[in-house]
Amino acid sequence: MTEAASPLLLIVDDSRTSRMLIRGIVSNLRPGWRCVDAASGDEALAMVEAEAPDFITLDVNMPGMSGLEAAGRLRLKHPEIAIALCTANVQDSVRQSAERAGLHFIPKPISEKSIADMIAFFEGHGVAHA
Amino acid sequence: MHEVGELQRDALAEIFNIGVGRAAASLSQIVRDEVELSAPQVLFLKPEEVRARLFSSELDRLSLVSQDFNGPFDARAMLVFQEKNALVIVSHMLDGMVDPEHLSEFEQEAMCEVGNIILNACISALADLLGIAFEGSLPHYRYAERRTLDLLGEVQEQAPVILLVQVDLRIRKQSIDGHMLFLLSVTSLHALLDSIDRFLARQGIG
Repeated sequence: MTEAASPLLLIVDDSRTSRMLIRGIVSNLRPGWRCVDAASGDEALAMVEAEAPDFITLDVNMPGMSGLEAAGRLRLKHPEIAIALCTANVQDSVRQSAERAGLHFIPKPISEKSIADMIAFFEGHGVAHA
Repeated sequence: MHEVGELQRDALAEIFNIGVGRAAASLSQIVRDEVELSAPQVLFLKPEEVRARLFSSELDRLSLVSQDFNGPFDARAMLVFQEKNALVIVSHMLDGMVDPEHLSEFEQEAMCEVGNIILNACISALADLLGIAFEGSLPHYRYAERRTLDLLGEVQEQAPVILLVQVDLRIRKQSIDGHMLFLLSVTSLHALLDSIDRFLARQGIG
């Protein structure tokens, strides 16, 4: 990200509905952020290579690569990107996997509060935003 | 018919009660309204009894989301609403984000996500209480006529006995009735009962 550019959030979810909901709340809470989205882990990895975002939200259960696998690959190449898992799979085992990987966990259904918490996590990750 | 002990049946009902409660909380957030639940009924039925048992005449046209969960045992979970209610749920979920005339375009995908959230909430509670983990398939959404619904699919071929957990959901002010169903084969039923026994032993019961 250049110094002048506004923060970029990549929303990865196979559900268009979920992408719209996340984007809608983020746009309300942080009007200056740019949001782009991807419908799969593979698409997300390609987009990150084209322009690395500051933050990523990842669904877990998607066609092809899972969100956890995508997070692992992203961590290897882009450890500077803050990542949140946003999933309906709220099993303890998934929460623990997220915690071990240093990912913020957002249970679905999302709410304004859970997205606000996610933004606080992102903003505390070392990138300063106006 | 399968032999299931009284304590096992009671524990199953209580575990599903907790799971369904978690699911109802999720649905309540989605539709921004209170969701009433019936106490889960745990039934062991033959496949041919299931359809007749499940659907009363007012549920002739169904909107159905199903998802398979695989782990120490396998289960097919289903969320069933009257077809006409699906659009009402979607309109609550996407309130103000989509023009009403375009709402139907989102119905299938939005209902998949609703099913994904609700079924996962319930299965996650089951997994956490039993100390196990499941992998879930992607949710599958379809319409069906009650009289032609092939509810059991492959499970029917393998399973002389079906565990049916029937719960009625009612969303206040909207009169939306729904059902959550969990279908298991006999093999999976054995594995589930083993998990229940271990759960009871951990609690110092049984």
